[in-house]
Order: sequence, then structure tokens, then C-alpha cells
Amino acid sequence: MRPTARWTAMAGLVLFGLMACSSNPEPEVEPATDEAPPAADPGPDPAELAEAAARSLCEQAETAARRGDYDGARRLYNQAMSEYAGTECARSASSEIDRIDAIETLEDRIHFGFDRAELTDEAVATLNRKADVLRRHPDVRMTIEGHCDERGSIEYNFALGMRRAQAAKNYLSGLGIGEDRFRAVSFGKERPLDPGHNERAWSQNRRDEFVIENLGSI
Amino acid sequence: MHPFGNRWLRGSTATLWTSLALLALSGGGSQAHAQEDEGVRLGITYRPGYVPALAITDIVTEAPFAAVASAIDSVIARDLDYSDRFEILPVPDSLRAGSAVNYGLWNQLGAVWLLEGTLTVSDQQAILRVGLHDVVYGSLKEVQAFTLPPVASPDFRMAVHRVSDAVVEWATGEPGMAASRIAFSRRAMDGTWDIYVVDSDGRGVQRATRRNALVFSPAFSPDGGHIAFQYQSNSGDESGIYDLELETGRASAVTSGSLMHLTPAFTPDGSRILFARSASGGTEIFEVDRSGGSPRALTSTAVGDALGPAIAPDGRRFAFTGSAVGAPQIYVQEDAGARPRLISRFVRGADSYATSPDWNPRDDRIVYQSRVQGQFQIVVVNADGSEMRLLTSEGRNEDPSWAPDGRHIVFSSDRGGYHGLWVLDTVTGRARNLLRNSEDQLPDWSNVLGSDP
Repeated sequence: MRPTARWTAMAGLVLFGLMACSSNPEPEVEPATDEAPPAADPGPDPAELAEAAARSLCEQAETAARRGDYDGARRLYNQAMSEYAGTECARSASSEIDRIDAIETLEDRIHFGFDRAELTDEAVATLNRKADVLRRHPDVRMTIEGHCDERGSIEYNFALGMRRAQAAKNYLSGLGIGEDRFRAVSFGKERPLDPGHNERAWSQNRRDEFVIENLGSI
Repeated sequence: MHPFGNRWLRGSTATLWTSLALLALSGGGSQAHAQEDEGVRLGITYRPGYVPALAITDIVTEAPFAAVASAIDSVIARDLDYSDRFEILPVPDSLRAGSAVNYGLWNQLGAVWLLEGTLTVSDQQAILRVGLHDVVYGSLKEVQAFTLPPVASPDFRMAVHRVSDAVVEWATGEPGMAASRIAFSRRAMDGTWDIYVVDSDGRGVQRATRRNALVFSPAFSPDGGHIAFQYQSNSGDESGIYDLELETGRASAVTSGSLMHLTPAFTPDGSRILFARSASGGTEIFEVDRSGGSPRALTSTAVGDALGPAIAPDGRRFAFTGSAVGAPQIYVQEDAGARPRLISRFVRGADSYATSPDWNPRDDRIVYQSRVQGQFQIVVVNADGSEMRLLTSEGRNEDPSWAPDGRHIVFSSDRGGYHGLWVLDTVTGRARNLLRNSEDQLPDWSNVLGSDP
């Protein structure tokens, strides 16, 4: 951490501490009289304002993350860190970004060739990254959903989708990740990601989706 | 007590019977388009042969039942048209049945067959007496009296269809298929699927399941009273093969669990169900007693899938979709553990993708869908892989199922610019639209439905 950053963070902590003290116990309240002179307005507490603004960023980031807008969430956390260093939000932002990175890695889709259930090099690289996260968080459990494009027949696509889900499951198990942490299901061609009828849509729809059932320690 | 009770033909009750009968015959007012559809002839793979002309005279009855008789007439005329075994002759108004048949005159009009009927309604029951005349030989070929069930009975229309099937059998010696139903999966707006059933003439659509889940691949029991289907919950957590009793709507799991279950099919004796279930490498075909118990594996594909069993009438052999060599193909296997034989690979111009076989209920032919020049078409082939023939060429055509007459098939298709279920006569190539609904898939045609047991 750079010295200035550390100083800012410490100042933030001091401010935060003072704020906590000043707000508790309750200040004495003067009895109200009609002729009481107007109390001097101390103006908004800058620390309090910073906390509120940062808190709002953190809340927006959480909403974005829940929507699956991980880039947006990261941007908001980074903004909190750079603009409101020392606030509660800013202090948690770094670990929140790590958390989002882990979730995004786990949820990353993998794609397949037409009528294929073999893992591509790209899919293997994606699964390797998942394995790293899964090793760090041994209590995470996932459902792997196999999906197909619209060109095949309905029933066969259910079988093909299952082979796609099992391909990912078997690969991760082969890396030493417990098989009982995955559930393989197939939705055939019933839940396309892209409703289009062209190669671009089809290549998007031939996929495994990874649904986190138990976040565990993430 | 007879189902008609004593109220049969008593004043206003008779009028009520008449209007109910008309309603029943019109299929509750739905699907009224079916009769308007022109048949589409596919030129490429069919040789139109000789089709004998059949004339149908108006059913003779008492005045209060004229409308019913006329409705019965049109159902029978449509059934016989849909049988694709006759050319239905328009009958001049001047020619009425009831008196002695003038064979010479009918012969001059070009009729080979003449059908006439009488509807008699008594206190106790309605009887339709039907006679088929062989105009060429100048003799009465067959005559039979059919008792019609109460008009409110769901079997009323079916009873009329059975009359049509009898006429087909008298004239050709072969079974008809009018008295049968087609089950299919229909997708709802929310993306879930359920099973529906429709009569062979496109009337009387009924919803059979209300699971709002992934309910696929209906398969009729041999007696037509039950439907087996694949159920998968929307989360994918549960999957199973279920046995639905149509009359009560009760469905019970034959086999279920967390493994994926697919594509059930009843054995011809109705005692067992073949289905596919996910295994380590892909899906394998299993059989299980209809009452449940432990499934027994029939295939050992190990690599790729085996699914979609279609059982031969002998109950011993079955065809299925297998992807052991990569792209899915059609195989035929005898008995558990035997070596499957590839039967689908020799289609010229096909880019090697064949699925969804169905075995003819009367002979050794198998229909399936095959990708031809990027589009699914229906192919028919002998069980030994010989005499392969393309049955369709227009649009995307999928999931064929044989009719009980062994010559028609039902399938889903987007021919003509809209998706629906279609019926095709594999002899003449005539196609008719059964249902015009873009969300209907995976049809299965029942056997001929007997009268109530």
C-alpha cells in the first residue's frame, strides 16, 4: 500500500471512530422554547457523507452482481476504493471483487461444436480456472446444465445435452474435485440463450451452464 | 340400466339428443378447419395408383334425426377420404337410398363401391345399419348394425369412426385407422410442456397432463387406455417415466430418480416399457415391468447414446437412435445385449444425422427422420436396411409415428410455412394437416381403439 493511501485509510478509520463515538451516547437535547436562538449549523460531516456515498456504491455493486453484471459491480467497487478510501465499503471492496471473480469463473459457460460433447481447448482452460476456485472453496456445489442448439431433434438433444454436462463433470472430477459436488442435468434445446436462427445464435446455445447451488465460503 | 335409459327419444329429450349429437360430431366446435384443408400431393417419391371410387348416400332416418344422420354421414365420408383408399364420389341429389340399388346406374356414375345407411332411434338405443355394395359385381358385400353409445359419451365420435374402419376393412381386407388417437407434447407460453390427445381426424383436442414441466415423448399403451411419458422437473432435479391412465387422469411413476429418463415405449403385449436413461458414457436403453421394479439394461453403447426405442410387432426386436460412432444413426437390435445393426447410413445427400425411429405395427418397415441437405426429412426403410425411401421433401419434418393401418404416418412439420402436426399416406403421398399449432411436437399414434371394455 502506498503511504498516502495508508494515511487516507487511517484517517478514514479515525474519522469513522470519532463518528461512532459522537453518535453514542445521545447528545443532550435542549428543551424547546419559542425564543430559542437558532443553533449553529455544524454542516454535514464530510466523513459521514463519504460513508453514505460509498455505501450507495456498494449497494449498487451488489445489485449489479446479483444481475450478473460482474463488470459493472467491479467498476463500482473500484470507484468506491478510489474515491472513498477508508470507508467501510471501500475496505470490503477488494475482497468483494475477489468474490465476484471467483463466482464469474465458476459460472463461465463453455461451448461445444455441432453434435459434439467433447471439450474444446478453450473449454478445458475455462474448466481449469474453475478447478482452482473449487479447490480454494471445497464447500461450493454446482449444477452443470447441458444445452443444445435448435437444429437437432428434441429427444436426442436431451441425451446430447446430458453428455455435454457430464463431460464437464467428468473433467473436473478427473482433476480431483469431488464428483459429489456436481449435478449434471440436460435441458436439450428447450432453453436457448440466443433465440436467433443463425450460426451465431447456435454457437451460443451449444453450451454448459454452471449454476452455483451452494456458495460456501466464497 | 342401459346408458340411454328410458328417456331416449321422448319429446324434448330427443331434440336434446339431436343437438348434443351434432355438437359431439363437430368436435365441440374446435378444429373446424380440418375438413377444409386440401390434401397436398408429394410428387417425388410416389406413384399414384388406382383408387376405387366410393359413393355414399345420405343416411335414411326419421325427420328428428336428419341433422344427426347428416353429421354422421360427413364424419364417415371424411374418414373414408382420409383413409386414402377411395375416391369419394359426389352423389347427385336425385339418387337417394332406401329403395333397391340400381347397380347399373351407379356403375355408369363410376362408382365401384356404394355405401348406404339407416339410423334407427328407439326408446332404448340408436342403431346405425350400414351396407356396402359392390357395384361392379352388383351385390351387397357386407351389412352390419352398429349400436351407438349415448351422445354425451366421449366414445360417441369414436363409435362412428369404428363404422368407417369397418367399411375400409370390408372393401380392402385391411384395417382402417379412423378409430384412433394421436398423443403429442405441446409447449405452453412459459416454455413448459404437457401431453395432449387428439382424434385421428384432428377433432377433440384434450389436455392429458397438467404438470407444467418438461413432459415429453408420449407413448400409447397397446390398448390405448394409457400413455407413458417422460417427466423432468423444471429444475432438472427429478426425472422419470410415468404411466398415465387416460380415463382417470392418474399418473404413477414406473421408474424415476435423479438420472435423466427419456423416450418410453410399451412392448406390444403391454407388460413392459422400454426407455432410455443416462448412464456413465451417455444414455442406454433399459426395460422395466410396467408395474415398476428394477430396470434391466438392453444396450451397452458405452460411448455415445442409445435412446428412442421402437419395438417391432414381434416384441423381440427394437430399433433405436444410437450415437456410438459420432452422429446419431438408426440401429436395430435383437434381444438384450445383442449386437446392434446399423440401418440408416446409406441416404444419398444426407449429412449423416438420423433419429426418432418408429416401427410399423403391421410389417417390418421403420420410419425415422434424417437430415437431408441440411433439413430433416422422413425416411422409410426395411428393418434390414433395404429399400430406403424418402417420404418428404418440403420443409422440416420430424418425429414420425405409424398409424395402426401401417400406411399412414403422423409427424411434425413446418411445410407450407407454418408448423403443425401432419398426416401423410405413405402409399399415395397425400398429406393433410392434423393440427395447426406451432408448439405441438413428438406425436404418437395409438392402435385402433376398441369399444369400451
